[in-house]
Amino acid sequence: MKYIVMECNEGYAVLMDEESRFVKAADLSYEVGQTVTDPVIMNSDEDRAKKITFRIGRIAAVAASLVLMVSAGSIYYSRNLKPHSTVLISSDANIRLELNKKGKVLHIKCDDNIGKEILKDYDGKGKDMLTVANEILELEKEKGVISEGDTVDFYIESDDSRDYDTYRNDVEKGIPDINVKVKGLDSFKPAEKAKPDDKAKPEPAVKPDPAKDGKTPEAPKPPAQDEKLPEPPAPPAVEPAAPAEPPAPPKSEVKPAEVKDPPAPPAETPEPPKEADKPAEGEKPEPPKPDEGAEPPRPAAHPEAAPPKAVAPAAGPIGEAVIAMDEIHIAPMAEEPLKDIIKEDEAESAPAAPPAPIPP
Amino acid sequence: MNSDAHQIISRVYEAKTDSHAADQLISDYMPFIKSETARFINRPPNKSDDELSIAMFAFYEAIQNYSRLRGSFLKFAALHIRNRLIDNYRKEKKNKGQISLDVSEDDKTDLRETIRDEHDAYEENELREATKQEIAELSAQMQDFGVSMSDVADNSPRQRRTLESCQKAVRYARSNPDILEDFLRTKRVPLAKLAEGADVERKTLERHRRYLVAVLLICTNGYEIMRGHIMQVLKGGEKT
Repeated sequence: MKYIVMECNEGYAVLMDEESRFVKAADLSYEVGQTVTDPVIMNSDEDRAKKITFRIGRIAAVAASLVLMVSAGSIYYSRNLKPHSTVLISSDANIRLELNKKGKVLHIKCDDNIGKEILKDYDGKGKDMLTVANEILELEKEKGVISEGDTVDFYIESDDSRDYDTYRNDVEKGIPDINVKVKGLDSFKPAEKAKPDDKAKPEPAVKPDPAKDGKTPEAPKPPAQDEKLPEPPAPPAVEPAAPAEPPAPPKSEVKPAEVKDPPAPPAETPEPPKEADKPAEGEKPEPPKPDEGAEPPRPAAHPEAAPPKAVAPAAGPIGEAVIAMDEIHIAPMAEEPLKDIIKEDEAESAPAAPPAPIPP
Repeated sequence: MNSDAHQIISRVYEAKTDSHAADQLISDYMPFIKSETARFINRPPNKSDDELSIAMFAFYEAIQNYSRLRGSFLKFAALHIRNRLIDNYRKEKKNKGQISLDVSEDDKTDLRETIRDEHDAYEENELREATKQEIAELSAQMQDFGVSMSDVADNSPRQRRTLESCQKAVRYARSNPDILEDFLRTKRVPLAKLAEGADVERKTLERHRRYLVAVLLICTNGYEIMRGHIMQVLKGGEKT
């Protein structure tokens, strides 16, 4: 571009270019009217801003193209190179085909010697799954691993249920001369298969437990405490329980009797502590469990403290306590009633502390 | 110190709009400019050195681009000068392998004497004188319109689209001598007619009024050399 020097000032010259644009430039010893070709033109802030914008634009463009390349690469990888599905052809040889999203075979793997022998000269990479499966079965036939009419198991695993269905259909319909059993790959793992069964089984097993325990599954804990508790009075207390047994059989009849027997409690009141002791003697620590709270010890350790607590409930269920006592001897399973009974009995026994000596 | 700094800044701000004040400021600070140049070229600069001219120009650029937010003016100007000299050095570096016409390899003969000169120096000189005369006339005429060359340079369109709009208006004026006559007679740019006739935004023309004054004047009779220089622009109008 040629410039005519229009004006020369102290620090700069005004030039006019061929496009009739007037610019300021360094005055490199120019003379007015001179034609110059390569002046040092003034850069305004705008020009600099443009340059910076241009640079930023370039950087942004490079960054954007990098992002595009990376994302395109990752998409290509996930579609073409990443295994999405696995098909296991299980005969005498277990041959595993890894498939990409498009259903093309990525890898053919085999750990056993028979399979390695079959795949020795075979390369099915990039081929369709069904094609490879047919070719492998052909090879197995040739090697005598299987014969026509044999059954071969196919285990299919896929990230996508639609792919699973597709492969399943392909395998079921696309393999002639061979009986094909298609299963999900999970079914190949017996351990995992067993798990759900185990879960199912234990349920019924567990059910009876709660039934036995009644409402207190925590039963196992207390035995420890109970063992301590029975230590002092336990053995002698058992004996008096024996006479209590006879009344037990008439359980059903007892209720009415209970109502009638209000006087009985005083005589039996000493027994509750014995009951608590029983488990210690025998084998069942369960009955005392409900008493964990502190009830069993009350009679022995805090005979005074127990009565005030028991006072409130003691009023009505005294008769029931008699029945419960019987039950304990016969079938000591029902805990709750025992709890109540013990509490009540304790409550009653507390005031009736004097009869304690009865055991001997 | 503070009063000096304030004085410089006020002078710089005055020089931004007044070319005479800018010239005066450059003259006053010539020792500073020379010292900055000397620091770069590692010798005292001669008056004919391109580096000194570029340093003076960089000082002028610094005046135009300075704002109070940028700190001390002299530091800013020194940085600006240095950057400009570095740019020039890099540019010259590209031409380093080339041989100067002024000096031959044996330093005895001028290379220009050995090259057949197709240009007639006498003719060139005459042409330059004629151009100089035209420019002087144009400057005088522009003063009647209250416009200087520096104003025109500041007001010249920078964006391509704006430049084309202005050129379109000029071409329209050139194809309608009445408009040019009106322009010379009234000493006012007929913006409405130009905008309407050339089908360009009037606002665009208004923003570049001083530039249009200069170019319209060149399009009138008497400035043939300059018209020849910008013939591309004018030809473009004839084609369309």
